[in-house]
Amino acid sequence: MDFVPETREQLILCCECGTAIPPNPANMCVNCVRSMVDITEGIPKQATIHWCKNCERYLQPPSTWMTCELESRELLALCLKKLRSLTKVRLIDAGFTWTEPHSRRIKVKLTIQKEVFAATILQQAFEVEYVVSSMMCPDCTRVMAQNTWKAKVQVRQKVDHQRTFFYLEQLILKHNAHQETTNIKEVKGGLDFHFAQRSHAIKMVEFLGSMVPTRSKSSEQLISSDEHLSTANFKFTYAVEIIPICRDDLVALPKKAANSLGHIASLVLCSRVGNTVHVMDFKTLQTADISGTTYWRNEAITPVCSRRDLKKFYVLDVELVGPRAGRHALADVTIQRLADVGKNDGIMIVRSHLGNVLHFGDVAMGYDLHTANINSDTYDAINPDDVPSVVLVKKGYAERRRRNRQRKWALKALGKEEEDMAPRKLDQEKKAADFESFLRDLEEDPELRQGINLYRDENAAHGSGAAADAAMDDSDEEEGDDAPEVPLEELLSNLAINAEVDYDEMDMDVVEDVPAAPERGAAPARGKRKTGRFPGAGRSISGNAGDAGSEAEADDGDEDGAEDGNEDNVESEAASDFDDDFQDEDDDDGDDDDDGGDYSSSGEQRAPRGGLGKYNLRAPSTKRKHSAGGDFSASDSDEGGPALRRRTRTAVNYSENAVSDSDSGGADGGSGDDA
Amino acid sequence: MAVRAQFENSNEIGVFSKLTNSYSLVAIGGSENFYSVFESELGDVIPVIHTSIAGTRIIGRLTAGNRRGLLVPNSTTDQELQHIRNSLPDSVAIQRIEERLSALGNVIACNDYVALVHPDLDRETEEIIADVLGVEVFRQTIADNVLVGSYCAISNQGGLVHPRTSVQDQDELSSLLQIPLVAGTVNRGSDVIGAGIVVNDWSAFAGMDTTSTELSVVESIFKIQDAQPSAIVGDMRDSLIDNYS
Repeated sequence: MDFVPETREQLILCCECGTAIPPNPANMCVNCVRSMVDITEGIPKQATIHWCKNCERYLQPPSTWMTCELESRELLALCLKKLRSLTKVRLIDAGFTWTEPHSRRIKVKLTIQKEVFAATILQQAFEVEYVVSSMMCPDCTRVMAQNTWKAKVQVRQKVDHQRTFFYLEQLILKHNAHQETTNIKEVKGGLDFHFAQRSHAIKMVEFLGSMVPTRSKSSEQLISSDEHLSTANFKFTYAVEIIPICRDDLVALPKKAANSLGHIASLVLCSRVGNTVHVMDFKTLQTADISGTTYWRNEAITPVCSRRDLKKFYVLDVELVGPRAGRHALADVTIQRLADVGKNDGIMIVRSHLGNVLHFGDVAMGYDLHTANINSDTYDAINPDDVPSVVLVKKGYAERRRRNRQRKWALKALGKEEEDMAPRKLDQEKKAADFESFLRDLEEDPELRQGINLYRDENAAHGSGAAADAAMDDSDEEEGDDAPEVPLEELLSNLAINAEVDYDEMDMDVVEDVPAAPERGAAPARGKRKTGRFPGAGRSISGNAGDAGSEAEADDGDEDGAEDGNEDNVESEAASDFDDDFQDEDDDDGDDDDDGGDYSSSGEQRAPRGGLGKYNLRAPSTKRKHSAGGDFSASDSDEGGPALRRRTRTAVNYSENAVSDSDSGGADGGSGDDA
Repeated sequence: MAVRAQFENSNEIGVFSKLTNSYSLVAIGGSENFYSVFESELGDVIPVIHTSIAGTRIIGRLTAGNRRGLLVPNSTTDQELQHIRNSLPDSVAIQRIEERLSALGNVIACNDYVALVHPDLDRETEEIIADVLGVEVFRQTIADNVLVGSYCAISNQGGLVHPRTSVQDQDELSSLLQIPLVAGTVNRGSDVIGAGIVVNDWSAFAGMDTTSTELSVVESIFKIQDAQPSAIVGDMRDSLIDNYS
């Protein structure tokens, strides 16, 4: 039988309290050790961490701001770094104790070890509470105080329309070039981009330079300097001037410049503006590129006619001459001024590049150089024999077609801030007209669409059935003369339509017809798009910008009357629809204000024709609002801060609807009340 | 009566003093406070001798002794030896030992009848111990420590041993020594018993850090002031109340 040693537990008395305990290195019971030493001594039980409520980042002292999720590893690291004396103990475990996120408290449970007496290691768990105090980070402060920018890019174009800037805006959105901006300001004649750092501004200038021909000048202003440290604080301003030649402009070239561009004719049409200005001789289809350097070396290159000078011509005959280049075909076109139709026999035969596009009975848009008032030395220097009487630029489309159609696509808009002075009504209307013109450009030119992102407009997709039916009736009347549309495949799908979109206030036209093109995924690869840091970058513009069409119609009532008699092939009602959107610009602007009565009457007349009365009554309501002085403050009141600042409105935004109810549903209801 | 004392801010008074039933050695300190504690307690009964051993103050660790004799290491100077011989009572023999383990206080623990010694001690030394101190010598360890002098304190009444001494070891030692033993601590949990206290049959001195609980254990096991083991509970309760109130 084996001897089994009897193991009796050896006990001693705790040296403090006298309870019997097994011997340990301290020879003290746990309670006594606890009561004698606190190893958490010197570790703060409460600490403060700073958090920027704007960008939701945490301050990592001394000056780093980090984005951390609640209860994340990063946040734990940040919290632990706050406890300096944690270096004197051994950290065994750390974890978050759940707290209500709104309580602004973070609780961290720590387990630490420390040697207390010789060879006695004590482990203790305790909780540290962090108070999350809000402190605005320098970046956000800069954004909030709008004038604390370090660099500014002033983009200007010396033209009388804003189409270039609408296009530029889309380019910027597509390339996310606005990401570093602290503020974007809309000023007369262009845009101002503000940046926190000079390098960002330079990047922007380079971006613009890569998109359109530009010329830039930089200047700096000394804000402060320190002699002792030989440091200085500057503000930098970059003035970027965009070439003042736009699409469809008629450009007069001096002899020398024309020769250097491959002996092109002195009078050319601008076909496209990209990195360079593409011009085309409409008489020979010869093309040339004018780069920014060429232009600014020789500023005698001047646009003599721009889109607002376009007149309408009735096409009587098209005779192809032969040469073709791409979409263009040279032709002799017999035309008559639309205004002259039925009045006299002023028939002209002009050479044009639109041989492919124009057909008998079409309306063509062109510059009437006979009657145009052109002030340009370059133009005067051109041999008058080389100047045609009319330069046809493009085909005109029936106005009513477009009004009746609601766009199925929309664009995003930059969050821009307007200048301090509220724009005049005329400016607002002009801007709306420019925007509409820009949208039509996009529809007509697939090349132009390539560079930017178009989004499917979910609202438009569910266009009301009644409206569509009403539109159907119209579409039966004429076939084959539809204005071009953007194919559905080209649209991106992820546009979130905000209820607060300003452009919702604009005139929405009803859906006319749905193209048979199947709805594919709408290029899902491109669909994902990062929203910018600044809210507002992701907002959309939808609908037709403003009531340009309706105003145009009101303006040229007399012209319509004159035409009616002669147009047999065009219905009398349709004749009035051949007004284009620039009609109001043809007439002197003073008419707009005088025609108060016309607005309301025309609005009521057209009410049944548009399918939905509520849309068409917008013009009168707008008019009324503006005559009442327009309540700008009401629409501005909801602006939370610079970052939240909205794109301020164009003409129609200051309607009663905008004041009473900002979402589109409310807008419709509001206009219904007006009726 | 157990008394708390401190030698120049050190609680290890067993290092700086030696106490037997017939004499007491005290190191020469900067002040006379430490000496005064011994003098006031023992002065009427036994001589309290100021001395150094080999020029050092750690006399408690270098010497071993009981009622009959005193062993000093080889490094002790003649002068010191002369001084101690002059001061000691005539009945006490003093012997200088040639021993490799020269810290005799650490390797020898003894009362008037039995000595526990380091297992590696010379046989000659063992004989000298038996002759000079008149004791039975046992080579032993305490809680697996060979430094028996450091880890226990014994008198003719009882003994305090290292806190980790197992019950079996305690039983064995107790039967060798023929006195009751208890495992305990001094100086608030210190297990170096020999350095923490010095005892003889009627008095004990402990380091200043020694708690009242430890002191009451010391008093009861060494039977100082009629304190009996049965009295522990009562005394301890009083001292506990005293300590925590």
